[in-house]
Amino acid sequence: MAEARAQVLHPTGLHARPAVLFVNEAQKYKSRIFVVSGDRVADAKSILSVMSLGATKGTWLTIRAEGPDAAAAVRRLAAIVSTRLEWEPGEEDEEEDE
Amino acid sequence: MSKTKQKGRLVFRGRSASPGRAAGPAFMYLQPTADASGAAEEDTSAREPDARPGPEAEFRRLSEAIEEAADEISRLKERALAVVGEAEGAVFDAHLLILRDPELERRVRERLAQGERAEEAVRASCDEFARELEALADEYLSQRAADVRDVERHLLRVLRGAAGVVEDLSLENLPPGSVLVAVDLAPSDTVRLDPEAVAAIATARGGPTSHTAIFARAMGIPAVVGAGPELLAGAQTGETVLVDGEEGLVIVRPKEDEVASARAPARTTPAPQRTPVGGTPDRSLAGSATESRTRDGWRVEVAANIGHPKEAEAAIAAGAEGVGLMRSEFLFLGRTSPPSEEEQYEAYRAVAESFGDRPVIIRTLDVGGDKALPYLEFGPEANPFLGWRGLRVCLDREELFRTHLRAILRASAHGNVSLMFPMVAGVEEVRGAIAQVDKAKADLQASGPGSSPDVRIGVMVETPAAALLAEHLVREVDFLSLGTNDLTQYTLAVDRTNERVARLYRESSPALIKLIATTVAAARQAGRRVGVCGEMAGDLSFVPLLVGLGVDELSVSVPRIEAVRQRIAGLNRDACVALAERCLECATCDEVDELLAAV
Repeated sequence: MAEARAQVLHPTGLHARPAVLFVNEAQKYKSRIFVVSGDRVADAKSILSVMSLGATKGTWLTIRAEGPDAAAAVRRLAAIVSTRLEWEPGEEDEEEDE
Repeated sequence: MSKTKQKGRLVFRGRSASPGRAAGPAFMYLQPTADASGAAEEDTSAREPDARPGPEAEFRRLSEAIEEAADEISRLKERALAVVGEAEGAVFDAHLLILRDPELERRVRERLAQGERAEEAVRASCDEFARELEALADEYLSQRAADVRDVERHLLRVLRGAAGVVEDLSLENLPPGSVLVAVDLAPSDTVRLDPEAVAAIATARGGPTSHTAIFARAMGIPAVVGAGPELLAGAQTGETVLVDGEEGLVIVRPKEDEVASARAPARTTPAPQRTPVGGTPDRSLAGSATESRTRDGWRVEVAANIGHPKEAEAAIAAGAEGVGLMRSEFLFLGRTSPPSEEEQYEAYRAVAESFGDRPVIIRTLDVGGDKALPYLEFGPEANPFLGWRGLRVCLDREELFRTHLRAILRASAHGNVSLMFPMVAGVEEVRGAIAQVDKAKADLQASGPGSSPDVRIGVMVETPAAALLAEHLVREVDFLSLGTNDLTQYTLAVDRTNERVARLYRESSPALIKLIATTVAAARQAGRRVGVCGEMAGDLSFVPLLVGLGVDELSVSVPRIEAVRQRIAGLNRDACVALAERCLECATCDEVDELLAAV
């Protein structure tokens, strides 16, 4: 079993595009992978349960994996959780009145 | 939909989601949402109750439906990528993950095991998840609940068979000029729409960050959201509805003069080029994009910045009048040896052919110590942004540069290709680079027939030195292109990835505006074209200033094209010129920002 802690740094939290990235990556590993936030546990390969964690920016998550590639999975997913990149620009104020 | 006997004028107040005003016959789109589950119930009961198949048969039926829905969503994604852009396409990536979600599958299987039919199990399980997401007090997450319901609708439609598709066909065949009235629109709804047929959109639910709002703004369709459920009862298909995206009003059965006033401005604005969403992007569009002009007819081209040939189709579909910046790095990064001439040629040729007669400006390789290539021996540098990068690298690696130039020259025979050099600080460098172009041409002539001789050459203005020397640089070349990201960084001496100083990176700096003005004036004086290809060009608050300064072209990322075209179409050139003059007199960024905000 391998485990790592990581803080969500993405401005929109772990949903929308970062969640897609996270789950797509998790599905590449053979190990069973869990994401723990407080008292909630999610299957890292399920986007619905990952989003249900409601992990907003600043949330600390524990990533836990069991299986042949557990160490690599945990390392990679922790890195995705704490990435700020791939940010979505905020809703721009597109007032068109001249 | 409840019928109303009332025939008088009704006004609904909602929130402005996309600017503009338009009136037209209403099209009431009442899609089967998860809470309108009656239709599905009816369907289930219509089947033979005795012929209830077992859980395994139901699971097989469900698995097939998931495969079919996945195909459908993938097609929607392609369409969304082509028509609206990457952000819209990403929505469907999430939908595909939801469709095959293992946790969802587990819950559905449990229900099937208890003897539920696939439709019931899907509806109940999706509903559970949607409610869980809605319960989280976060705006983004409540939007994800809408995604779950959208996927649910897909799956139920496939499970129910062809009969369920009727509503969506109606959405695809909207009568031209319709005002679309709905509860709310999901990504799978908007992607089916022909934006040309939609005069305006009004929804009962949703806020300014809802999917409907984002889509309407991207497509330049006036929209009001959150007008309340009464809206749905207040209007009927065919009745005239006016949507005032400026004031956030929806008027059912408006007065004649209101309709006339809503229509007038829309007619004088040149319609932006759009691809019907129902169709796949069409290469023949390459010759037919409408010209982007200001309201008073001043021509300002809107081109695309692309980083890979596969973005070309989406750029064309979004209404790009050409490519103002085609990056070359994709060919060189992530490999251990440089790409062959043939490989480069094929990539550039694909883009040149996609755009036909429209101009494609290829920027020569622009790498530096911050994205080193193993085959270029970048040593460690203390200041990579002031180091060996851009044209400097190419001039020092003659063989690599000549191969690169030959590939571009050969591709130019297949379209309207220009090339431009990045990271220029002096005239000598430009002369050195042009000498290499001449040698590359000679290489090609020696080896047989080849390049089209009229390839135009430009210089990127992204150092203060280049801006100050613009009058000299422009004599050496055919055009200039302002790379405002680097120009801002070098002018203000700010690395915007450094959190401590990032706030000092401001494109509203009067220093930057002066350099842009100097560059544009030099180009115009010499009768040469000048464009802007930095992020500033895609920032709607800067568009009036750039137009006023006199740039010929704004080159922006594909998702920004539509909005920038719309912005330009609403501008008056004289007002922009006056704005630019005032900005040039400012002493501080705040003063400039204030002027821009007042536009």
